[in-house]
This record gives sequence, C-alpha cells and structure tokens, in this order.
Amino acid sequence: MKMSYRMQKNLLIVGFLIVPLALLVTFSFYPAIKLIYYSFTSWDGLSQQYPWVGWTNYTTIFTDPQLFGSFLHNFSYFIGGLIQNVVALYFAVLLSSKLKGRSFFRATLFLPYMLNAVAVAFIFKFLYLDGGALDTLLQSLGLGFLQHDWIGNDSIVNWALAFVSLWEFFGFNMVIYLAALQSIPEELHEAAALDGAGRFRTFWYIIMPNLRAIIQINLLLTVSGALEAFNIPFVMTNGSPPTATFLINTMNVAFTFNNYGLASAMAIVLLVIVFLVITVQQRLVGGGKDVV
Amino acid sequence: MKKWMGPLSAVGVSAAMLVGSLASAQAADMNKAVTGTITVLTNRTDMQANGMLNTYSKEFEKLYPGTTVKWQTFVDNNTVQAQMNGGVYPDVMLILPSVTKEELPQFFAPLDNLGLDGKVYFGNYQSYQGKTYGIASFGDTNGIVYNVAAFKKAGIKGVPRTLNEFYADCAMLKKAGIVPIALNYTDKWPLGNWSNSLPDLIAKNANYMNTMANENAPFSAKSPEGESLLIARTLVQKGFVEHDFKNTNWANSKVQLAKGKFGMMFLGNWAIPQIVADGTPSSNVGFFPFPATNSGKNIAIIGPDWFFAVNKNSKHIATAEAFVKWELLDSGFADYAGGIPTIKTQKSHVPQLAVFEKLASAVIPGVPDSDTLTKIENGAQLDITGGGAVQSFLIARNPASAFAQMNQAWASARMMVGK
Amino acid sequence: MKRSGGRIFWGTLKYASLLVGLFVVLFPIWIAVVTSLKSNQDLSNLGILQLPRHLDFGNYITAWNGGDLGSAFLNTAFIIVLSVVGNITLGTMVAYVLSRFEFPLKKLVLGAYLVVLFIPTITTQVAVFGVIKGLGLFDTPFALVLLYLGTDVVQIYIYMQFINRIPVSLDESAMLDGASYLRIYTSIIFPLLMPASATVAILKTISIYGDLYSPYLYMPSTSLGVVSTALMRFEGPYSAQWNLIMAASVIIAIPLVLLYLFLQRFIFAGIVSGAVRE
Repeated sequence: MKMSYRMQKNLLIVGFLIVPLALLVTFSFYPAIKLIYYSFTSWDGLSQQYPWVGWTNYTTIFTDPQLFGSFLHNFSYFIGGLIQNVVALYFAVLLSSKLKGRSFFRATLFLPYMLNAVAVAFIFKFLYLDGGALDTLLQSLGLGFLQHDWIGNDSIVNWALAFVSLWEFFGFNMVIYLAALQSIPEELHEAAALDGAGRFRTFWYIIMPNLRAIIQINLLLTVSGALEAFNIPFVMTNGSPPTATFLINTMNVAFTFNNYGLASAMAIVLLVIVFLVITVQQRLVGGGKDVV
Repeated sequence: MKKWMGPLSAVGVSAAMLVGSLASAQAADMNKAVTGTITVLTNRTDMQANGMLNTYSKEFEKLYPGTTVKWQTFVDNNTVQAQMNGGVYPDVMLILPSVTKEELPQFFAPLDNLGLDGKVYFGNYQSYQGKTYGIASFGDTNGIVYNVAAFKKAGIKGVPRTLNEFYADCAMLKKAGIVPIALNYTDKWPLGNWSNSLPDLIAKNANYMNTMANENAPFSAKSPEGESLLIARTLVQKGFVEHDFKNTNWANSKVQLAKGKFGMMFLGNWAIPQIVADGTPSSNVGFFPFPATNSGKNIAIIGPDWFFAVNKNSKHIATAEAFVKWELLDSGFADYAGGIPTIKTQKSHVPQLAVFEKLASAVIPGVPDSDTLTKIENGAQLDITGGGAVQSFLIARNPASAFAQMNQAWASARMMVGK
Repeated sequence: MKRSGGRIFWGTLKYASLLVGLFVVLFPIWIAVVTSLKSNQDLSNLGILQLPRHLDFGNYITAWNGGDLGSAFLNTAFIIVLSVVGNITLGTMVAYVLSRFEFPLKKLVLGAYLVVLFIPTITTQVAVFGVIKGLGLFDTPFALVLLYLGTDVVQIYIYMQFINRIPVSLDESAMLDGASYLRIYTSIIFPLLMPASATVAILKTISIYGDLYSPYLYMPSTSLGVVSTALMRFEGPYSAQWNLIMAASVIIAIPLVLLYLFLQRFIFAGIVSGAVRE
C-alpha cells in the first residue's frame, strides 16, 4: 500500500531534518547554552566549582576599557572587509562582461582563497619582514617612501593583517557576486543598452537592485568575520598587545587569567554585537528585507 | 634487586649506580605492571623535529618490553586545558601554570611512592595537603646568555658586573654592528623573565614577588618590579634590541646568537645547548648573572622548569610513573636540556654553569608563587608570569601612566581577592 | 567618436585594473616559490626578489620529511572525503525540505542556521569538547568528521538558489508517474544539484583544509596530524629558515591548487548555475 503524499511529506520533513538538526543542536546550541551559563559564574576553567556571580562579568566588560577597547583592533578588519566587498564586486562586474582571457583572470583572482590559511599567514609573515620582500618591491618601484616595519609599527600592523584577510578572501566574495551577476537575465542588460543607459547607470539601476540580497549575504559574512578576527593575528603575531582582537583577548582572559566565566560573557557580548551590527546593516543595505 | 639487573645492563653502569641508591622493593613491584601505551606531553618541538623524542621512546620501550610511548607536543595552555576538563589528557603531563594547588589532586596522581621524596629539589612546589603531585623536569637559573666571540669583536673585556657596565657593553656591541640583546617579543614567554625573575634579582630576595601581594602600588620607578620593566624599556629606547623587535622569536634568535649577530639574551641555562646545537662550539657561548643593580654583587636564583606529573585517570599509572622516574634518573634529559638535575645526587654537566656560579655573589633557591599572588595577577589581568605585561609595557606611550594603570588594576584585584 | 573614446578608456581601465589585481595576487605566491627554491647560501647572499642561482629542491625534501607531511596528507584526505560526502548529503536534504515544502517551523529552522553563524566557535570549545569526549571520539579523526559534517547557512543558501530554479513541474510529472518524495529527491533533485554540490564540496574542502584549531584540540596525537597542524609544528623549530617554511607552505598549497585547476570548470559552472537553466 502506498503512503499518501501528505504522510510522506511529514515523514520526509522529519527524516531529512532530524540528523542535521541534531548536529546543529549538539555542536552549536548546546555549547552556546553552556556558554551562557558559564558567563554568570566565575569558573576558572578547571575547578569543579562554578560560583554564581550574576551579572558581574557583564558589568566588568563594559567598565573595563582594556576589555572593550580591544574592539578597536577589529576596526581595520571591518574596514578591510568593506573594501574587500567593493573590490570583489568590481572584479565580478568586469569578469562578467565580454573580455579576453576571462577564465584566466577569474581563475587567478580566485587562487588565494584556495591556499591553506596557515600557509598564507606564513607567506605574509615573510613578506612583511622589516626590509623584506614587500619593502624591497616598493623600493624597486620607486615607492621607497612607503616602506615600513609592517608588523612592528603599531599604527600599521592591524591594517597589514587586515590586508592579509582581504587578499585571502576577496576571491570568495567575487565568485559569489559572479554567480549573482550571471543570474541576472540577459534581457535586462539588452534593454538597458537599447535605452542608451550609460555604464554606470546600468550598473546602478539595473544590476545593483538585483544584487541586494547577495551583497547582504557577503557583508554578513565579512562583518561577522571581522568582528571575530582571530586566526591571522594568532598565527602572524601570536596575538601581541597591539594586534589583540576582541576574540584574542577573550581567549587570554580564559586561559592566561583563568577566568572562564568572564571570557564566556565576552563571547556572549561578541555574539550580541555581531547580531546588532548585522541587523543595522540589513536595514541600511537591504531596506529591511530578510536575507534568507 | 635481581629483577633490576636485566634491564639495567642495557642502560649502563652510571645509571645503575644512580638507581641502585634509590631503588626499593616497591619499585621492583611496580615493574610488573609497567606495560601498555602511554602518551607523554612535551613542550620540546625541537626534540620532536630532531628525532630525540623518538630515541627516548625507543630506549624506554626497550627497557620495559610491552610498552609504547607516544608524544603529544604542547601547543598552548588552551588545548591542554580543554583536554584536562574533558578528563582525557596525556598519561605523563606537564603541570600548566594555571592549575592551582587545590586542583592538583583533581587531575594528578601523587608521586610520593616513586621513592624520590627528599631526594629531589623543588619537592614542595607542587604539593597539596602533604602529597607531591609534580616533580620538576630540571632546574634553571636565569641569566645572560652571550656569544663570546661577539663580545671579543666589540672589544668587551670580561662580563659586566653592574647595570651601568651592562649598558656600556650594549653600546659597544651596537657600535660593532651586533644586536646587543634579543627580547623575542612575539613569543611572549621569553619576556616573562623581565617581569617575573629580574625583580627578585634586583631585590636580592627570592620571595620578593610574593610580597607584591601585600602592596597596593607595586609598580613604580622605585620598586624592583617597576625598575625591571624600566630596564627592558631602556634597552628598547636606546636601540639595544632587535631593530624589528616586535616581530622576533626565540627560534630565530638562537640561530642569530650562535652566529654572533646577536650578542645576548636574558634566558635560563636551558638555552645554552640549544644555541650550541645551532652551530657554534660550546666554548663560544657564555653565561653570567644579570647585573641587576650597580652594587657589583649579583645573586642568582635557581627555580624549577616544567613539572612532570602523572594523569590520575591514566590506564597505565605504573607505566607513566616508571616513565617519569626514567626521564628524571636515566634519560639524560636534564643534561640534554642544559638544566640542573632535579635529583640532588646528580651533577650538572653544563660547563657554563660552573663559571656562572663563580660569578654570582650568592646562589639561592627560588620560592614558589603564592596562590594569592596568582589570583591577584589574574584578577588584575596582568600577565606578569607569562610576559604579556612586559609586551604591553614596552609599547606603552608613557611609562608613568602605564604604572598608574597597573597599580589601579592591582589594587582593585587585591580588594576582590580579599587581601 | 565620443563613444569610442569612452570605450577605449574603459577598456584600458578594465585591463589595467585586472593586471594590478593579478600582480597583487601573484606577487606573494611568486615570492614564496622563489624563496622555497633557494639554498641557505642563496637565501643569505641574494636579494629577496632575485632568482636562485640554481634550483635547490632540498628544502622540499627536508620539509616533507621533517614536517611528516606524507601522513598529514593522508589524515587530511581521509577526513575531507568523509566529511564532504556527508556534508553534501545533509546539505541537499535540508535545502530540499526547506525549499519544496511548507511547514510550521520552517522559519525557525532557517533562523537557527543563521544564528549559529554568529557564534564564535572558538569560545564554545569547552562544551563541544565534552560532547566529543562523551561520544568516545576524542583523538580520532571521526571527531573532526562529525564537527565538519553539519551543514551551514551558506551551503543551504547555494542549494536553495539552485532548487528554486529546478522547475516544480519536474517534481509533479514524477509524482504523476507515482514517484515518492524520497525518490524525487534521489533521482531528480540530488543529481540536478551536482554542479552546486561541486561548489559546496570545494568550499568545504578549503575550510577543512585550512582549519587549525579543531585538529589541535580534538586530535592532539602527533601521529594524527593534518596539514595545518603539521605546518604549524614544522614552523616552530625552523622559524629561522624561511626557505624551508616556504617550501612546506608551497607543498601544502599544491594539492588544492591542482584540484582547483581540474575542477575549475565544474566549480564555476556550479556557481553560475547554467546547468539547470532551461
């Protein structure tokens, strides 16, 4: 006897979602709930005691300039992320037009994203050495005045690190933009061409509105990536004070200063901030429309 | 005793003499249970790379057939601490600095049955309620490791005895095109000596750091702690450190020191063999007490390196214990590492240490940090032990306001701890 | 005339900017390769931008052996294959259900996947560690496989975009033939999603390949090293020898670059979705 489609549907929904949702709950929501619990304790990370401290950890975060101030070090990643999207969109538009050597350019620009993240960090560590490859290159291009001790100069180092992130990830954004551009029907372009609309106007009035959702997705990824920057400073500078992002500080609080409770509260604050920034950004870019 | 004879002949006579004096009936019983696979935590990535760890496993496995020794290399506190929380950590452990005394029994098996009580240095460092949970892998004393040829090239005769002489020698090295002293800023831990070891030397008191717990403002130009930080800062300001000092690490610096491109580093005696291994004769590496003051009398303090411990949840506690004992008594690790053996009857074979001891006005034993001090440091979020505080101080715009900030954090942390 | 002048200007700008982009992308890679081929002597005697006097592949051999890269590659490949297969299966299933059916908690499921994106995973390790240990998977490759298995919002988004372009009429005609929903998924949706799956597979492979923290945490045994951890471990003792580190970095970059060159067509085809367009 065959099952009705209605019953099939219910079975399928449950059957198809149960494993993925179980994974989601086990490895994301359950740990997140634990994190919330720890954030109200002064647990040291090892002890069997979890002394309850109420909101103390949260008030500490907002009153200790050392803790909250480390968001300043995330700022360069944030700006870098915005530039990354502009660059990615620019190249995506170029590569979606008729162009000689299109697939070669496309493949090469995507290349950095394919490289192992640790390898990329090491390559740039080498490049940024004082008097290293980058400085030598600038010198030989007659741009010697731009030479710097890229890692050693506290006002430059975070921009140098943010650039690594831009270099590594813009290819990913570019490919996503490319996909979106290709899905804009050819007829729209043609119609615009017949109207005699200029290049810029075509882009702004025909293409941009169609890209809104995808720009949002890309920004969402880069913004949350910027606020949670960790790997690049961790590998390249060992998270030294001038490069300690909020998340690096969180890990220090947990494992150098043995205050897992406070670190958990910092993680929750970070989560909320990312959420707020994303919401604001959605209002600005997306006109209030939901992404998914 | 007879049971021991078989395996002992394999390791040689000197080991036999050492173990002979320590072996007991208890140890012979332990031998029976020594079997199975154990994992050993190590911080020596260099010994992983050069195959020494592998040699150790093979020697131990030969001595105790049926055992297998695996290594886990230490990455950061963080990963090991997560393992400890989960209850799945290596059988032979290194005690993390974050483990408090009360937490020792929660994670480790007491080592009093090894028959080493009273026969090792630093026996009281990792003990709780009368039981010992950790034995130091070897002892260290911190001083200036230097390249002898570089000193000669710079025209320096004899090692500096006072702080002023030290600065003068730095200037001479710099003039000779040699980086006077390497800080290894990026690694962070090498900076710990400037905040955690130098103050004791200035105060000529091994217990000085602990007295900071009683003060509300221990950071000032007049306090030993503040003076130490200022010495490090002076070196930076006079250009006596690596020109790109914020992008430097120990693995690179030791090669440069071996080559004579760097003159000095403020580290423990353990650094000596590693520098020698990078291609310079042992006679070219010297070691002298830090000329911490202008008094001309410089003391040295001997403290423990990492502590070995045994996982109390280990399936093969006996094997893990045997390994700890073997590593302390017979492996030659202390010598290989250039350390002072923990076993009181063993002597150090590092030639530089004998010279060092003669240069020191006194060599005194270290004192462990009190739990109160650690709690205040953590509460104030000042990484004095690990070097993070030095990192921040070196790049602070204004030392006076940096001191003020540190004192403020310190005072409020003291209040929280209830001191 | 004005128009063609503009065209020349735009054309020049277009290629000029592409060439700049190309240079910025290739310069670091070029330096890495050149440095990796320099002997110790060439490294200290020649300028950084200069080519080696003779190619020295010795660094590659040292890096391969010293970093134990052979076993690292095997371990990594094992983890990637299992994770990616599972990941594609689960991702297509979720996307199929979410895009073809209406049901009460649909928004909640989507929202859940979105929220999870914001959790800084590195901070939840204590709890996750407990789960992994509870499952008895600590220090086995399966710990990582399980962690990588779950789908995420980007994958779901890519798949949903695709499924929405598969005409519902295909499903309906299959239903007329008496096919069950399960059968529609296995014989229509899943195969038609292949191009998207190629994309998803590549993206997932990249993220697993570059993950540094999870392998350290959940598979600390040295014998279970993956490429990222092997590279980090190798760097420690050799950090003074840039030619060796660059050689190790290049070796580790090669497999994915090759994979990329071979799969490139599928990846971009997958992303631009030409395959399913009617």
